[in-house]
This record gives sequence, structure tokens and C-alpha cells, in this order.
Amino acid sequence: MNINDEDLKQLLDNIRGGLDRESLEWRQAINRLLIKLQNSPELLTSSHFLYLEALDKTWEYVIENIHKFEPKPEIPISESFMKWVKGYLVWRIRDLYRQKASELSLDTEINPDLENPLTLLDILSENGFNSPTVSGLDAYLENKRQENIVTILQNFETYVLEDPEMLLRNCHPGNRPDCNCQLLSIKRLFTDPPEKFTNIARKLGIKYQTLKSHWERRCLPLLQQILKDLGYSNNGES
Amino acid sequence: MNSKEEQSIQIPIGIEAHRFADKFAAEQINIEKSKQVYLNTLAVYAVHRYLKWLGVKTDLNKSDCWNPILRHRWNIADLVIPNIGKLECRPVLAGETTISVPPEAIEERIGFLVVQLSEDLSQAQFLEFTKTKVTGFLEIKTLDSLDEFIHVISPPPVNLGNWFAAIFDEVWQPIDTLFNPQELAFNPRGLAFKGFKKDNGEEKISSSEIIERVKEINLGLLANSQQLNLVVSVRKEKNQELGCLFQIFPMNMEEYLPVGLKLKVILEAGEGEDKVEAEETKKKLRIRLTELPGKLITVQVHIDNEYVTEKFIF
Repeated sequence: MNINDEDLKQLLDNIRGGLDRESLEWRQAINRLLIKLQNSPELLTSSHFLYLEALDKTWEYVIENIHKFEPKPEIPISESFMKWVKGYLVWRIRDLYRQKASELSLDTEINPDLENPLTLLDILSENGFNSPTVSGLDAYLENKRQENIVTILQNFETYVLEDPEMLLRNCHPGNRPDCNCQLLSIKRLFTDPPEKFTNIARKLGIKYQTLKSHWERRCLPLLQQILKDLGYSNNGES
Repeated sequence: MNSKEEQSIQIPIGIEAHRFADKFAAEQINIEKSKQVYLNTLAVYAVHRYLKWLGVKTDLNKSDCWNPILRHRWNIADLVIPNIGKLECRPVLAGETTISVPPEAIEERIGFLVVQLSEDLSQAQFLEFTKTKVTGFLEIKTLDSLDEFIHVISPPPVNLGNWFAAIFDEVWQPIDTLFNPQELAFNPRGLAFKGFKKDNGEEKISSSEIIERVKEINLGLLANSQQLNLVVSVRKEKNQELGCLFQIFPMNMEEYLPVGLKLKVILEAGEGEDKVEAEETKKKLRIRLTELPGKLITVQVHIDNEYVTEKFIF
């Protein structure tokens, strides 16, 4: 459905009218705007994963910079707004194409007169740049399994249970050696279902907050350090 | 116009989301577990992106499902929203009418968001939000609860007017919890007294006019996160104005604040901003101001690139 000019103007006035960006009203208005934009037939569509990446970044940009949008007086505001949105989307698609094409050693030159930037994405698909679907997920994942990491995680579990260097048993709040990291790991990680913090706190007679903060601030970092020492790499997780 | 199709937001699942899902799923012991991790990761990342659009900060690195050890053992799809809580983002596939919620996905959650993933794993859509905690199977019922979700992630500013009627949210505690009894005896008028007196030297102030509360705030990433106390003192002034004193203290009042910590107060619609910064030996940071009724006051505590925000209105 095409966007109604009057509706859009009202919505933009509302969004750009000085509402606090963290307020409920502003967020509801943004949500309404996004739904309108997403349903506009003028939006380019594709299910290519780079297009989707570009679209995601476009929504982020549009919302963050919405105060910078300047309607062109000679055309309806909806047309002017869609032009602004699409302009950014096309720029993003081209930018992603350049990055990925250079990873795949393809020609990164883009014909400036190219009418539909989605054809760029077809070039990438032909070169094996694809992601799975639900029905193909099993086969896709089978090929991806990293046996070395699976082994590291198994070694990690043995390490926690055996605690050969006493690292885990020595990690406890002040005078409470019974509330140590090994015991908490067993109750939290190796019990199915995991024992709740409220239960553990009651049984040990320790304050819930003390227990929680010990787990989060000391146990989890220690466990992650052990995993890292066993060879796990956190590359690219944040 | 009001068809359900048109009311729901579509979140594109791009290459970044699949990159995380690939990595996390590849670490699992069998296909069933890999698939669970893959779909959980896509659901969480989609919600993270949607919140990013809205300007809501999330902390993937503090979320259990981003921790290799925890996601390996548990079936979790949690997303930490600083200052708000932990949201569970359960994935469903098209055509599924129930979701299974294991006990580990219940603990400390502010709510459950049901996230439907399309067959080609290219789009996510929110189906339902519920605050009810149930383990086992949850039937997916409604399509209209997204508004409630936006409510939960957009808490209203703290209403300081309520404080004068002795109505406080439980996160705002009396300040005597900060002192040991000795100190309290030494400083019976509380923390604000000196701060207010400085600017109103001649004026007689009775301590009963000042209301003071403290909230614990957490700032920064897991490894070096800072726990701090934000103390807010208010009193009514002339011309219906509100006198406010915002102070930051370390958790342990004997210690120093982390170097580089900043306290910032922003007044409504660019009317002004005040900022103080902790140098090496600061034990507290403070900003005092008066504001008219109905105006929003935004207080931020910054360290490095991280910050937390508290909003107030009188």
C-alpha cells in the first residue's frame, strides 16, 4: 500500500517534534513509521543476506538521522521520504557488494548507471555466497561443525569436575569456602535442570545477592579464562 | 489498514546474524543442539537489532547465550537490556503454535518475546510478548502484545512528585543503607544538607524538607564493571521550583571513584547541560540544579564509552 501523504506528515511531525527519544510515545511512533515503510511497494526487496544486512542498517540510519531529512517542496512528502530511504539503502548495498566482492576476489567496479543494485547481489550468489534455509539447516550445520571446539568444551567440563589446580574450589566469597565456583558450576551447569540461585542461596544460608554477584563477577570470568586456556578463542564475538 | 500482516515489524536477518549463528552452532555436540543454538542466536540477534533501531541499548556480551559455556549447557535465548533486565527471545518457525520453555530460560527474565523466523531464515517477526513465567509449553496466542513490549522497554521517568507523597519505587532506597550507624549519628541530616546549604548560606533549612534516596547502578562490561551509588536529593524551593542534588558515590564509601568517571545532567530540549568528571582522588561527584515542574531531567553516568541514564520529572 502506498504511503498516505497526510499520515506520513503527521507521523514525522510527531517524531521530529521534540519527543524524548527514550519515551514510549517516540518509540511507538517509530514503530508505526517502520511498519508503513516496510509495507511500501516502492521499497526494493530481495531475500539475499547482504540485501537484508543493508536493509537492517538502513532502518538504523533512518531512525537515527530522521531529524536530518529535508522534504523537497516540489514533490509529495511520501515520495521525497522514500527517495531518501532508498538512496541510503542503495548506497549500503553497493558498499557491501564492494566489501564482499573483494573478499571473493571479484571485480569491485560498479557501473554507476546500474539501475537495479540487486543485480550485484546475484553476482555474489553465483559465487557461493549463501546462507541456509530451515529445511536445509541440518545438512548446512553438519558441514560446519568444529570438532576441535567440541573437544575443548568436553575437556573444559572434565576440568571443572576435577579442578586439578584447585582454581575453582579456591574461588569463593570471603569466609564461605562451601560457596565455591566448582560447587556452583556443578549445580548450575551440570544439573539438569539447573538449580535456581534462590534454592542454592537458601540451602547454603547465603544472601542471594552475594551468591549472584559472586557467580557473575568471579565464577563466570574464571570459567571463561579456563576455557580460553584450554584453547578456545573468542574471536569476533562482540 | 489494520490487518495483522501490516501491524507487525519485519526484522531482516542479515549476514552478521548468520555469522554469529554459524560460529555458535558449530561448537555444539550434535545436530539437534546446533540447530537449537542457531535459531536461538538468530532470534536474539534480531531483537538486538530491532532495539538498536529504537535506540535501546543491549548487552550481548552479558547475555548468557553469548557465553560459550552457558549456551553449550542450556537452551537459552536471553538478551540483557541494561537498566531494564533480561529478556528471553524464543524462536518459533512458521506454522508452530507452541514454544517450549525450559527452566533455565525462566530465571530472572522480565518477559518472553516470541520471535517467528521465516522458512528461508531471512526475516524475523514478533508474535507475542508475555510477562508470565511458565515452563513447559507456551501456546502462542496473540499478535497484539508488541505494544506491551515497548512499554516494558520504555519505563517512564522517575516521578519526583511522588517522593513528596512518600511513594518510592523499591530500587530507590533510603540513604541510611549507605552509612554505618556511627556515620549516620555524625551526619544526621543526610548527604544533601551541605550541598544545599552552600548555595543558600543564610537560609535556614530544616532537614525534613529534603528527601533523599539512593539507587545502585552498574556501569561497564562484565570484567571491569563498576557498581556505584546514585544519590538523589530533592526539596521544594520558591516559585514552585524543585531543588535537586545528584551525587555519585563508590559502592564502598571509603574508596575513590574510578578515574575518568563522568556525571552529566541534561535539561529538557537543549536548555542546558552540566558535567563533572572524577580525577584521581575523587570520592564523589555532584551536580546541583533547580528546575521547573513538568521538565524532564536526564542524568547520565559515563565511563569510557559506556553510560547509564536515569530520567526524572517533577
